[in-house]
Amino acid sequence: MICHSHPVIKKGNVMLKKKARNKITLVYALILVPLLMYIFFIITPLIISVIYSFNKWSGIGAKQFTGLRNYDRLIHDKNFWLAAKNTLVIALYAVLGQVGIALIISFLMTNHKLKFREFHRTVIFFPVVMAPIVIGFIWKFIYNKDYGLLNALLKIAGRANWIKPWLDDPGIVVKSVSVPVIWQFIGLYMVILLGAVMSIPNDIFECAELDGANWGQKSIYITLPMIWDTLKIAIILCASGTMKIYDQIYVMTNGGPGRSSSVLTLYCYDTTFRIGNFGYGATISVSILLFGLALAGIIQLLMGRRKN
Amino acid sequence: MKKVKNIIGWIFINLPIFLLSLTCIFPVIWLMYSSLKSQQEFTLSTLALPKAPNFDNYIKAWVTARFDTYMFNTTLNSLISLFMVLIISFSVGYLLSRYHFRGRGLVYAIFLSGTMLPVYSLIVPMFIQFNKLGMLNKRFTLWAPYICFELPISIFLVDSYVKGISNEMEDAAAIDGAGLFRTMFQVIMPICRPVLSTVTILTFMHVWNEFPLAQILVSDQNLKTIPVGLTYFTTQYTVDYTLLMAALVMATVPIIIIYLLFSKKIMEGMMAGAVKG
Amino acid sequence: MKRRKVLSLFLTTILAVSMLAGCKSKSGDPAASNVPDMITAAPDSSTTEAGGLDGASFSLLHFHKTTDESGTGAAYKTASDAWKTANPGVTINEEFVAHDDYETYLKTLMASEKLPDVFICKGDMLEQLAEAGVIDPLDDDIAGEWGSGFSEGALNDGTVNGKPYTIPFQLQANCTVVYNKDILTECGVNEFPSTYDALLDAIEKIKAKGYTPVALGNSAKWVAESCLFNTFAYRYVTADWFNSLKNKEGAKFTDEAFVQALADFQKLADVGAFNSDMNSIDNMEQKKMYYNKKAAMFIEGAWCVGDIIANAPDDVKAATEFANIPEVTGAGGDKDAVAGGAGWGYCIKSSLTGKNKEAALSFLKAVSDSGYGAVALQNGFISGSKVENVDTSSLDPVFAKYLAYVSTVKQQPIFDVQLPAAVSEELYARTQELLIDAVTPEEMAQYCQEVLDAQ
Repeated sequence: MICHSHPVIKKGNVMLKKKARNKITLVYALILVPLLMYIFFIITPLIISVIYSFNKWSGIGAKQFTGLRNYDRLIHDKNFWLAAKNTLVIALYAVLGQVGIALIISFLMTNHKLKFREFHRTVIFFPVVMAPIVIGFIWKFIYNKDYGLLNALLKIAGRANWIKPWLDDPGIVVKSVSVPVIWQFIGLYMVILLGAVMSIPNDIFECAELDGANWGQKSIYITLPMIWDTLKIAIILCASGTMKIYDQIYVMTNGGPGRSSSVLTLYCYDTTFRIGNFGYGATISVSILLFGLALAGIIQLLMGRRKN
Repeated sequence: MKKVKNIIGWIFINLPIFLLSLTCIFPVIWLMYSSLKSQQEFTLSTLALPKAPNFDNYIKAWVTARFDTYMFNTTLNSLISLFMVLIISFSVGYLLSRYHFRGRGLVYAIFLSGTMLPVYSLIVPMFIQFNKLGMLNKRFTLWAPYICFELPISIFLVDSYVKGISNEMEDAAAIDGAGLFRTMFQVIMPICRPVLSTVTILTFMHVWNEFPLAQILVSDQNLKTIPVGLTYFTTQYTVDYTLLMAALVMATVPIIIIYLLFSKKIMEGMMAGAVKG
Repeated sequence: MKRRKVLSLFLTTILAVSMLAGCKSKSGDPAASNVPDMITAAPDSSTTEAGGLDGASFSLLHFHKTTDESGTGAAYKTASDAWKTANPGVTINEEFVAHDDYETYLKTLMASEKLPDVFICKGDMLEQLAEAGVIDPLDDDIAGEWGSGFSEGALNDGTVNGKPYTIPFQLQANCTVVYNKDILTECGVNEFPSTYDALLDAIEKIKAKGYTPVALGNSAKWVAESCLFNTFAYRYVTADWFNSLKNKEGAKFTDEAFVQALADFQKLADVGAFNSDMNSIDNMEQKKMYYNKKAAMFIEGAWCVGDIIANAPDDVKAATEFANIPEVTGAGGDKDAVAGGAGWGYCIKSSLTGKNKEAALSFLKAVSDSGYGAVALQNGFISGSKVENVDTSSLDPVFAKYLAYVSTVKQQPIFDVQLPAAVSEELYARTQELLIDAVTPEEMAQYCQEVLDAQ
């Protein structure tokens, strides 16, 4: 009886009392100052970058206003769409892999059969702490045909016929390159989701157990809904963050072979700094921003606000 | 039958995660023992354990790459950025979580949109901006950008965590007559140790590893950071991999240590709310 | 062309011994290039009255790694230290950025109008700066002994509209075939193939014995195009053709000769001349394969000589010889042509004038003239200046072998230095695809021509 009318934790809706007028001003101030700093240091360069995208500029001399011409060029640019496709595919893998696996681990952590929890939790976070360039470097070694770890293990396991040209075959290079990206950040989302999972009060679980729910059912019907909001934001961060992917890809393949693993940030960087086309490079940047916002919007729509 | 089912269940639950953990820890170990090899040994076999481990690479890396200066600069940048991020993200995260005011969504949107552009897109405008303001190449040049880069995710983490704290604490504090600051910093902040530990590790390591801004906004050799110092190994076409690895280990180990120190705190926090098995 | 590194982290005893030997030997021979003599010679030639430059100052940006023990970094350190000692009254605000990040940094400085007084530049950016008048032509400044001391063609890469804008400090052939004659003999190839058909034959024999014929590490994309294909193409086309292409005077990538070059190059990949993971390992790995005797040869530019000296095992070094890419019978190019040039060079901002500019010029002379050239040879690379009467016995034997080879070649313009960057990027990417049959020669020619036309 008591379990079914368990008081749900109040979400943070605090009723504002009149005497808290001062408080409100304080609140606004405490938020406004950092916000202004953020706008000054980050949003301003962002806006300037957007302005560049409407100009033609090689870094020297005056900028030439060209309106939407860069965007028109972008829409017809095959290399852009190839990079965009690759980036979106990697973002998809990243969400499924990073957040998906992190979610499963979070569920597993609530299972009493799991041993060495602290060890796992600690160690899985290691790759997050290493610089992406280092991760790219390590995995380039792992994928090496002759002495790489992957092929060595496959040979030991007697599965030499599974060996493929991991980073040489344009058909599989995007998948190969996604693996380190996924692998590196599982730990990050694990920590984020675990934080949410651990804040679910025990009594709810105990109630469910009394009702006869097993681990799987508890995970899906209790844990999942209660961390829904956190999960949603994790997915948004993951998807929009992966749009920016650069270091690992640069080290492993530099977009190759040919352009088969090119991603938007690589294309933006090469356009701006190798070819010297600042205006068009900014256009590509804006496209990254737009993709990120679009993904965030789509995920927000799909996952919306869940009521308990 | 039940026993078999139990064993299968046990394996099913423990094995995959065990494999994952192994893959996560192996590269760090590999990096470490490879750095104790000589270049020739490494060329012969990338995987094998070193036959005669030596620290030559470390000594060379420390001397050639001026690691002491870079270590100091990087540490200073990281600590200052960390301190500011903790204060700001906690305040903003807490307030956003508790007070649903008009424009709250806009604040979120602004912070979120800043995370969506790669740093290379921002570098040229930032450089020009800093140049005009005379802020290039100073001791404090990198602090503000670093703090700003870390704010969105830190604010989000705090916001999320605070959502799960019941209002009883604040109600009690209000009854005691506590003002906003006291409530925030004396009552709630201690409860937030776990999430603040996460913020600490993430911020510290992002700032520690940051490269593009450190490379471009600061040109004085005395102010350069470790990642920039590392390029003095990695861009050589005749890369001495083991030397590079020694440098990488020196660059990575401090973060891992900090992480290990703080992960205990996070564990404590989590164990406190852990589901009883 | 990326700047090539001839750097090693281990001082080879050979180099050290040869330097010492050079000091002691043949006192009667004026050519015995003595390092101590070089150091004292530099101040003499660098400035007539050191006192006259006192109080001058200028800012300098470069990518010379002065902690290296050989190569351009070491040579630069020797020459610049000598000049600084002789000119204590001059202040140089020197900044170093690692080579791979150099271009990014330079472009950022350019965009915010914060370029230093003296910096290293090449290619597209050079042309833009020259045409905008940000940097000055240097023909008057180098007139005389300094200018005529440059080797033929050294100034080409830095020439815009007929005037030189940069001062070269290195002159490198982009292509040298490095082969292990013992392995070739073992495979039944008794002399290095002199024709394309002989090469195909040699490849078969080498593969039959289980070696990789040519180790190729093209993950950075430029190696195959810049070091291999560029010179191979010069068996089919000439410098005139290239200049016509560059200036849009009629020659096109889609011309039959060039397409044939692409096709024959692709054929090399098709018959298995290269290792199958050629696009995923880098040029360090390709040398490693050669040093480990897994490959019979590899192809890279002049900068690899220093690495061979530093890192190759002794038996490999003894068996190492240098050669050019074989002739292609019936094709229109020159069998001795090799893509090569200065690539990067120092340039001076036009806002630098008077005593400061004089000081800068004096300094630049010290790090680029014939005196520097001799230091360069001791450090395992060739500078942009002529060096008279080189005593090859004072040099490392491997480097001496290389010098013998390079004296037989005729340097031609390097495609990816003189073409717009966008075209070079296209060439790199398509070459990677060409090697794995992901694009046909005709398609590649067409794509590259499209990008060139769009410039």
